[in-house]
Amino acid sequence: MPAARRSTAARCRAVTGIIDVMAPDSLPQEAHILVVEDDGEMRTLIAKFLRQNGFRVTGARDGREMWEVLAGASVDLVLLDVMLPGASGLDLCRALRARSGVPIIMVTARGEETDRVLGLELGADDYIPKPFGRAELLARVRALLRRSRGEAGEPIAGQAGERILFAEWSLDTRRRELSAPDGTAVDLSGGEFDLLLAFCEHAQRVLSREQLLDLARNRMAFSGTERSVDVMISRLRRKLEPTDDSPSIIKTVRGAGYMLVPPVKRGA
Amino acid sequence: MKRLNRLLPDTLGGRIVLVLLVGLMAFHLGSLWLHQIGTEAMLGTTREAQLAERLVAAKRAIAELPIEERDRTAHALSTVSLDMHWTRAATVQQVPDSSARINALRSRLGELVPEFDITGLRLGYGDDGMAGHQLLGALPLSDGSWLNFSAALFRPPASEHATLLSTTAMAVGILLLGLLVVRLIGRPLRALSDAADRFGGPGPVVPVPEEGPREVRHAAQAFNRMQGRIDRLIADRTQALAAVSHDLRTPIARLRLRAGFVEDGEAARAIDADLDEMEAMIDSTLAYLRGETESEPRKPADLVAMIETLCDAAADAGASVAYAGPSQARLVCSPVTLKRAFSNLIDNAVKYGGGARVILEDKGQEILVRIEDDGPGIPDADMQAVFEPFRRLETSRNRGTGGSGLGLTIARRAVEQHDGTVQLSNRPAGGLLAFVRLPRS
Repeated sequence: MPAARRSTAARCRAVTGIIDVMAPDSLPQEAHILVVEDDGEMRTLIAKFLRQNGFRVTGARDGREMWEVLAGASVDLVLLDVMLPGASGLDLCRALRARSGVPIIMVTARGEETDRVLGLELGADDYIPKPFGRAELLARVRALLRRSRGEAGEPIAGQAGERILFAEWSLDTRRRELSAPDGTAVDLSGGEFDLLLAFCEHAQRVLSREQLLDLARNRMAFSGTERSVDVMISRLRRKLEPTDDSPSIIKTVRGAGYMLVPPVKRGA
Repeated sequence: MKRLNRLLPDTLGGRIVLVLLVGLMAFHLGSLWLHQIGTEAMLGTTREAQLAERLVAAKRAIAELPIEERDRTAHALSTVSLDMHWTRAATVQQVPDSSARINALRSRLGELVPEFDITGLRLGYGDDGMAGHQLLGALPLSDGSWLNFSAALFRPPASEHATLLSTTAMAVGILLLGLLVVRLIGRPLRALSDAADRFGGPGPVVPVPEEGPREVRHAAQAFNRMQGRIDRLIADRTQALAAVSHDLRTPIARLRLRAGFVEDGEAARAIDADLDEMEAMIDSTLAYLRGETESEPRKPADLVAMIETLCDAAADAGASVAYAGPSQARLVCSPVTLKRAFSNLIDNAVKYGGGARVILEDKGQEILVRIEDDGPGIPDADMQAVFEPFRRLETSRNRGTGGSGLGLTIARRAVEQHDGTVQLSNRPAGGLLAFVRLPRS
């Protein structure tokens, strides 16, 4: 937790998209990232960008090169493009997950819902739609590395189970969808989803605004402040507790923060 | 001509049946009339000849008899159709203005039986209320006495009810048969017009069955070929547009990364903003093209949560957007498609109207959503044109606002996929109102 808190300010700037003021990564040691991408130019640019931000990067053109690199060096994270010549990214993802627990981020074409869901089902830990912004790429890489190192005691998304159930509500972590007790799909923004997921992973525990902010940031490029946490919680509540007689889901603990009231179950 | 058109049946089948019916009825009535005339003429002639012969015979017989036996014999010779009796003076007076019909009858009686002496014959109608059915007459004998007679001359009235009934029954029969036949003939034509209606709508292209009469078969074949050509043409264009849009993503992705190495932070931000715009255009183009072929599964979703997410996002981006309405509105829909529609309508209001008020009303049978802005609105003449793909009203709107020109097209198609409607109108107080109606069927 201290490491994460120390870097809050730096990340806050990083996700606003201003690269030249980005602080070098605050992770204890230089992480090794394997970029699997068939477009040479793109591979070079991603590598250059990640190196600039303090990572060690190796590029691979296809599955064969990927296995070669993995055999010869320890890799902390794989950035895997879905559209690859020969064995597709999805096949590689499944094969890779079968052999090791290395964190995987799938790079999918924007709007290709099936690729994303399939990727997550095949064991990818996160996905990033292409074309992605620099800030988004950096935030997702850092968040996944942080989770994989077990900071804040969080499980990795890939191991988190597909469905989280609380008070008859259901949260699908792969499709990023929330369903009400009567089965109605309730739309959430990206930030709201990440915040709710953070609550679910620490159910029935009081979380301070600062903790919530950190937890949500570990998920994705959440560019909020502590005040925006309050705003987002009020928005979440409006959706989770729409009427006056709806059961209380998120409780305000005066002076301490917020708490998810119902117990959480994990389902298939 | 217009009135005639209105009287004509609307369908081809109806017209064929009408022509068939009118022709057959004319033929039927004509032959019926001719038949009746012929029968009547023959019957009349036979009867008149018989009457004349019997009168001649009676006259000869009675003239030979002594006076006291004459009346008795006349009675004895009477039958139901011809009643005779003998008197010294005629019981029938000479009618001065005898009708043409009586005269014709008189001369015909003479012609039919040559030895019938018609001089002095008196003829007239009986005064029985049925003028023309009872013929009264008196025939002078050589000694100046008279043989009086009365005859049922004319055929009893024909049973016209039966004729009318049989004619009607026949007409109804022809009509029913005609309808049946014409329906059979018209079926392939209807299939053709149904297919033409479906073509261009949602769903895959279905060829028309090539059956029926040769003309219709040829029309169906021609239609199928045309359908195939248009389908291939559209598919090719769609694929080309999709491929270009899709392939543009790789250079955009590279550019996004390259912008990170630009020393000038201001320039990097500007490049990022341009890339955002390009990406939004590609996204909406691909969403538009995808909407042609794909359909998202339906499931119950909360429209209010959907609209709140959109409003919150717009508000976070600095726009003045507010939601008013109930806290929940459940609708079975395709959520991603519908969210895109509302997103486009709200974006439009923010972009051109400086902000949006979203008002939702749940009417039970349907959900009404109003998206209002305070912008300049749209000229009434362009209300429909703005829904056309790639159409932008640059005359009244700032070119710098960008956009793909697909927002409203996608929104309307998404709502129509849900059997709803989108209407644009200028608000009396100024600004544009986008009115979405979604039925809960």
